[in-house]
Amino acid sequence: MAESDKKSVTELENLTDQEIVRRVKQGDRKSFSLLVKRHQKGLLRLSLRFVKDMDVAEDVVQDSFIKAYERLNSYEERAQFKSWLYQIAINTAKNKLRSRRDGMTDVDDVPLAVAARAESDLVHTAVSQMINKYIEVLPFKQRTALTLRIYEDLSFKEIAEIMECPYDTAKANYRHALMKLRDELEGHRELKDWSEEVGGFFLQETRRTAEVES
Amino acid sequence: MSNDELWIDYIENEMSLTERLEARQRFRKSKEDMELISEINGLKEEVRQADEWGALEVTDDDMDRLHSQIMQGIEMAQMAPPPTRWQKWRRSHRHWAVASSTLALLLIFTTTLLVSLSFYKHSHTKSFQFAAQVLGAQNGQSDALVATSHLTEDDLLLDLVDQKFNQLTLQQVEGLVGTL
Repeated sequence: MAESDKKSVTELENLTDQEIVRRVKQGDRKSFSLLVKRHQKGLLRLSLRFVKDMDVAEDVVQDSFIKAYERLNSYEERAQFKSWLYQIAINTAKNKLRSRRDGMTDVDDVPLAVAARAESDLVHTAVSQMINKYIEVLPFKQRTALTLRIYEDLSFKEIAEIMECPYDTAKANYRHALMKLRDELEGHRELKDWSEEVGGFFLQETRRTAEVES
Repeated sequence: MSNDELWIDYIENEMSLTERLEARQRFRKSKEDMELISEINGLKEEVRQADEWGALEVTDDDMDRLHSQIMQGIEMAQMAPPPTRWQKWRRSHRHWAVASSTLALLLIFTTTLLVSLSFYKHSHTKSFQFAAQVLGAQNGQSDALVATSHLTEDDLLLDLVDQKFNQLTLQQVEGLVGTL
């Protein structure tokens, strides 16, 4: 690569998302490549959390970037580019999910024990499987709020931007998701007891209670 | 602030230090609240651990392949023109537009329902008057009712509509003829 090219690549890399967007809007289509590089991995992980299949998730990422490019002129810089992109990806994932909803596994069909492993591993696997299945059947808005908050570690302001709703609504969706999960897990008393026997998260709760009390 | 809003703000650290201290004082007074908070914290941790994709291992080659696919798509794509002022306005007032459209639909539905009911009532009365004329009732509608042992005009009309007139007893028919 020529010295001048290297310099321009470095200059491009130092630009913010907003600045790159402005360049693309002015006709520099190639700069969009940098936005793809910056966000494709995060977008892939987010899509996987919704569609649970690598091939479908890659489709979601590809479609999302193409849609983002096509609608770039309607992107206003009030929200972060990443939030806007996540919003497109979540809607695209939602449409994909809708089209293959028939093939989804029923929560009751989830096997609790999968292989001969240490008991604590088994409990964690069972609890994780159960939680994942319950997350899957949460109403889409609640699931989105929970995913963005716990897995993507976003603030409620960012979540509200992505979900196109007020801050309080984003928080309420998250709260409802947690409460619903808690209620569902309450119904699996045997799993809770088993988890406590092998030092699962319900023991961690007791520790935390003690911390708060102190 | 409701208790639900308070505990979620507390857990998610969406409050100032002073508010946090006040909330902690409040929670300490309730064993139920303490349990809920610790349970939700435990649940959050378990949800985090249940993440199937957190440690997603994707090779650079995979990312390069995906990047090329995306850029091929971008090469084919056309950027839509900037939205017009009207499109921008419509988008930013979408919630109001939905609310006012719903209200308008509700108004149209209610008006249609009221008009239909009024029309039904009107046509009902008209039908009876027509039936009475056909029967040749000269002394008014009440005679026809007495003659056919119907308590109301509606009952008579319903029987007529149901084609039950021929089911009237001989006595009822004679009574009816007597009123003509």
